Amino acid sequence: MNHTHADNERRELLEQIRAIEFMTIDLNLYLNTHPNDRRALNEYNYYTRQLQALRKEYEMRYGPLTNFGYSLSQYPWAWINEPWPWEEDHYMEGC
Amino acid sequence: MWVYEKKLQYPVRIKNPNPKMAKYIITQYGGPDGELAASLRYLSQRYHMPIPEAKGVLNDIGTEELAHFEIVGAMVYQLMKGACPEEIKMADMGTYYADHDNAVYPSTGTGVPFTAAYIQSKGDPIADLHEDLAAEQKARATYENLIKLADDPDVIDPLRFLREREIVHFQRFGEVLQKVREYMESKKYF
Amino acid sequence: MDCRYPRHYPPRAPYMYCDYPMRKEVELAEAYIPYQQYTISFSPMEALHAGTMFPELVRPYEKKGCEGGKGR
Repeated sequence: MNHTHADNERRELLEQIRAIEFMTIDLNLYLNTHPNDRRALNEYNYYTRQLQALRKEYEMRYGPLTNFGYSLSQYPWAWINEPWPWEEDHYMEGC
Repeated sequence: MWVYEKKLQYPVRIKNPNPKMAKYIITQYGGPDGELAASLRYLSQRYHMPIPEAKGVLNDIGTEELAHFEIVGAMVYQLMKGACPEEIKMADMGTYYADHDNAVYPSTGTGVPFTAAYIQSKGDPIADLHEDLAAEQKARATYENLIKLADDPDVIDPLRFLREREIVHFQRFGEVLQKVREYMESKKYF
Repeated sequence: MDCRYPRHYPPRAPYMYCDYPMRKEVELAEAYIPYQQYTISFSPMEALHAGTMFPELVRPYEKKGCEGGKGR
């Protein structure tokens, strides 16, 4: 199955979001048991800001990343646009 | 309240269907040491945690486990998608197929449906945290068994990620255990 | 001791325990996991692929072959 250029660009941006968000996840768990670690906290805020910018860029190009009022949608309602996460890269024919 | 983010925490891109591997992996979806059990365990136990650090850790790891539940579900989905009944029969997965077709259902590989009997919520924070530490170790061991059973790098890659997360969670639960113990001791004397 | 910025890696044992006072001795019939102290981190992409941003928490797993069919 061939991916279009636009599709590759979308997945690349998503991969960046994934990596930055992963830093916020690991730092968040660490901060829960180290609430006074100022350096970890600064890094958490640093990656959170970066994540917000990347999300905004993604959503302007490809539609909402989050539901329930966390992202704006173009017309028509873009939340339901495919692919859903479990379908990424998977367009094989069944039997 | 939870908000859905339309992406997997770790990507799943399995090119070749493999119902036999799906049968092995599905235990981490709906089995005793699986991600659903982990999530429900922590999200249920959090109500009785005595200190904010412990509430935060159980809440957030419980949430991350839901993302892992989704990763495992995506793996099973992709491993089953496009598999023909003949292949499913060869993979000894006919009994599952009879009940669920190629669908994703929370059960073990032998068809035992998910049950809350896999988890406990004891109301005793020390006891609950020890269960959580054990749960992370059991899940790690399961992922190691699954890695041993797998030979497709597309399958092994997310399994490795999930296994490493168990180690990080274990560390956090260990730190929480210490904090809860200190807290309970301080209450004893003052 | 300064708990906030120990920059050395790998972290020296025993680990420092900062937010609550360190207990003098460990006690019988208790389980202890050393407290982690953040030292260095992977880059975001490295972290995602390692499964953690903390190099000191990486526990690689290599699968072993079947030796003579008698298990490990």
